Amino acid sequence: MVEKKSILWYVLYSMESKNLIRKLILSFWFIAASAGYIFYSQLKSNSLTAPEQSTSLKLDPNVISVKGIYNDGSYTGLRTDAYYGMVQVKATVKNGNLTDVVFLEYPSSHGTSRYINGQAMPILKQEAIEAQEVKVNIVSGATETSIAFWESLDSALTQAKN
Amino acid sequence: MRDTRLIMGMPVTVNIAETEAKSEDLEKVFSYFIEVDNRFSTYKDSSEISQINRQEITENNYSNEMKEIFSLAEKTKQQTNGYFDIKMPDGSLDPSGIVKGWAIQKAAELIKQLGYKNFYVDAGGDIQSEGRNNEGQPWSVGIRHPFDLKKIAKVIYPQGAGVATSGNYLRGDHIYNPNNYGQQINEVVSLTVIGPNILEADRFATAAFAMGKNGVEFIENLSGFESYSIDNKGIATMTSGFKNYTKHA
Repeated sequence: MVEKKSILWYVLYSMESKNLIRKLILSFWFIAASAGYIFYSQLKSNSLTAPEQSTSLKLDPNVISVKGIYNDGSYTGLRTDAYYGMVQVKATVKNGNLTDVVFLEYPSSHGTSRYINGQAMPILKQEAIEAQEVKVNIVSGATETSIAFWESLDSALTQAKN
Repeated sequence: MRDTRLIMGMPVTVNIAETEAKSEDLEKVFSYFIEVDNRFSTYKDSSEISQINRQEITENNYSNEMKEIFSLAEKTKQQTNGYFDIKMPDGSLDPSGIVKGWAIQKAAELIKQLGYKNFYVDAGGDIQSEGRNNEGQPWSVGIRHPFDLKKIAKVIYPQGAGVATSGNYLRGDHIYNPNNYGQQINEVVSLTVIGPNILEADRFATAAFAMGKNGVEFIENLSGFESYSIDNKGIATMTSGFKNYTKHA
């Protein structure tokens, strides 16, 4: 499945360590299976509810041991095109073990939620703007009127020159 | 009593909607804006910021106002992951993206100190309003239509909140993508931010605009702020609380 490989690549790409790929493919089968399940169930789902699962895949360090290979810390992968949207993950290594992978960004093809920085984001409302001829007290816009003013003044003064 | 002057390269309007409004009080407000322009304008060789950019003044000799602006600029830069930055690609400093909102805020405070409760200050489309208009109604603000400049795209009633709009209508030398200096910011043509006051709205509007399509989501994640972002196809995206400002109490 495309989705399973994608998760692997997001984490590995940011780690930049080629020899690890073979070892990690085996270790990450577990993560990939969990992640793939989340995506798969979302794609299949006909309902518009947000995923129940947390954006964090807390990992059992006994299963995913990368000891001595990676330095402790948090590493953010590149934002990557997962075909149906963008995905970005952050991996945490603690005591030499990969302990967590969090979705910083997670697409939603059918659902009403997305994840940005680990927080659920509602899809924001959109509308086509109207061109209203309405009277308001004050107008807020960019400052183009000042440029027009100066250009107009400049052309007037040019004509005013002797 | 209302008047408009051209200061800091933009129309500045002060409207005190009280019958006892005195013209000398209006003058005090305009004088304040002139003072701000003389200190912060990068177009004036004699301004403090120009002297700083020519290394003619050392840090311990910066005015209190300059220190305050630099401190606000640094805070905003951190809060926006660098999308707001007063340092230009050539290394010079241009704080105009934050001075405007800051100056309007100070002007509004000055008007309140003079004893007025119903007024607005509008500098180049960034607005701080308080109280009610001459008809006793909440001040109404129209977001200018980005393509038909004589029309209004949306009407809002800020009711004391600050309103700042960033757009790509040129001037815009202080708006660029810090991660890609050459990139023209043109996906979003107009981004309006409503915040607790005009200083807050203004400092985030500039950065959010530079984030393009992600700007409105950045504001969605910011508690106490709302946004209306119009793209180059005339589609507006709004934050989830924005609709609270489209009807008046």
